[in-house]
Amino acid sequence: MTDRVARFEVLGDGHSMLRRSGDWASLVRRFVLGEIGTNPRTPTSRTPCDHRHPPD
Amino acid sequence: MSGHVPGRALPRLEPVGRRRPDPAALVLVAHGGRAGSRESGERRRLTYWRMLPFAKDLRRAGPELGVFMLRYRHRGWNGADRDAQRDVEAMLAELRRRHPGVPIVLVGNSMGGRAVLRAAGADGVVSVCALAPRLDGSDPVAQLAGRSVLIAHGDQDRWTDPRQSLAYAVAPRP
Repeated sequence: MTDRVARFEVLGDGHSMLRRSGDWASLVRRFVLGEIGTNPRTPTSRTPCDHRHPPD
Repeated sequence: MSGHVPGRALPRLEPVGRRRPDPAALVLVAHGGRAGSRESGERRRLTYWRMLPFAKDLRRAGPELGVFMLRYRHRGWNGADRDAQRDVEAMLAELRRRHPGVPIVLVGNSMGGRAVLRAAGADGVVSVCALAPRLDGSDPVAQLAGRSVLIAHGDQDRWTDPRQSLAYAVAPRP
């Protein structure tokens, strides 16, 4: 139905999203700002894919 | 929504940061809840506080954005009533009324993630971000046509199932 789907698995975190809160926030921020055109779309959100997001 | 009274009535939009009269884009943030509960959504519970930092971060990073927290009528999804989804849809209509033509991005967590995915077909929605959405394999995907979708799930989540997110993320592909 859409080819613009990205799915991330955030390694080492659970439902609370607390252990890697900065990474979760960064993921959302980059996605939203990329979608509205404030920032360039990140490569991961330009391409349909399945990602694992290891700790930085 | 018929009968919606701005202000204290539920559901309602809670602006995050100073309200902009002419936002370039709108973000609606939907927090989590229970599978079944008719308790009022008025009280700010942990699920609300969990998502507020995301909303504040977006407001700081995008001062041109209008960012809103969704305040539900009820605490729960409530089966076929799909109360959270209906509240998202009602508040999308309210956002369109206030800001016609302005693109809308949906962000939701858990129950809210399911609600925003299911409401993504509404006019004005361009993108949807679901964090640890509470999916059960019955959720439709047709409404995602033309939208950008980001789904993220912790691999150690014990409340919602990362495998359901994966199945859902793969399903929409043509």
